[in-house]
Amino acid sequence: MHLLLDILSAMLLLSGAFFVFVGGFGVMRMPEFYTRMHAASLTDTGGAALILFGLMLQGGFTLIPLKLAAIFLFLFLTSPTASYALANAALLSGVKPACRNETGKAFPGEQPAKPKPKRKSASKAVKARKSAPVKPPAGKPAKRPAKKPTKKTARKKS
Amino acid sequence: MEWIYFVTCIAILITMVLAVVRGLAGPTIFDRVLAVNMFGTKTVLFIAVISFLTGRPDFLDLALAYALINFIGVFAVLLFFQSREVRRAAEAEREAGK
Repeated sequence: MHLLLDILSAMLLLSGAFFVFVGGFGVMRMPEFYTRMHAASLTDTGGAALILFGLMLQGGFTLIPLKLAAIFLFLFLTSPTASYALANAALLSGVKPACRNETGKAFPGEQPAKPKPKRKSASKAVKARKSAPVKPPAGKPAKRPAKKPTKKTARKKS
Repeated sequence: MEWIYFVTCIAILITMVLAVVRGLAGPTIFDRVLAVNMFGTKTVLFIAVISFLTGRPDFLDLALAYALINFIGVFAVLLFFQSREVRRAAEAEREAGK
């Protein structure tokens, strides 16, 4: 029984350490503020919960798991609140989410609405769907989503 | 079992160092606040793991207190900067109105 508990808590602790490390690395490497917040919230929820549960299994029948549960409950209530307040403050003071193009004009909300492809025929809709997910990876200079290359890619795919 | 605590401590410490680097290098003020928030959460976890590593469960009270302080501190800093930005926007609007 003790061995089982040890193995379980070791697994929880090591996976929690992995989560924490990956989140820290993401905060270091992500390109802009909101993606960094995503990485930080990964460590705040996943890492904290896994590590605290792993420690809770080692506590035995004492006051220790209760204290750990109090810490977990508190973190669980406060870290989403802090994340929300942080994102709200950033958005209110004008930090904008990243755009796909490096031209800086094509924010998803500010883009002039493109005429949607008419879905009279099924083939056109399929082509539109295929041409839609042309997402250049962030950081590279992205081409304007002109219509000709998307058609080419659609042909290549089909 | 001790080496697992040790590995977890090392991972948390590396993450804290990365958070400090982000806090020093962060381009906006909110990156810095985010890094400080993350550093505080990692401090709570670190104290909890250290209390098990050294066999002194009294440290858990410190971890709980630190979690409280961290939350309040982040909110205070955020309120400060948010009100500053709102005030600036209001001043800019007033200037534009003139």
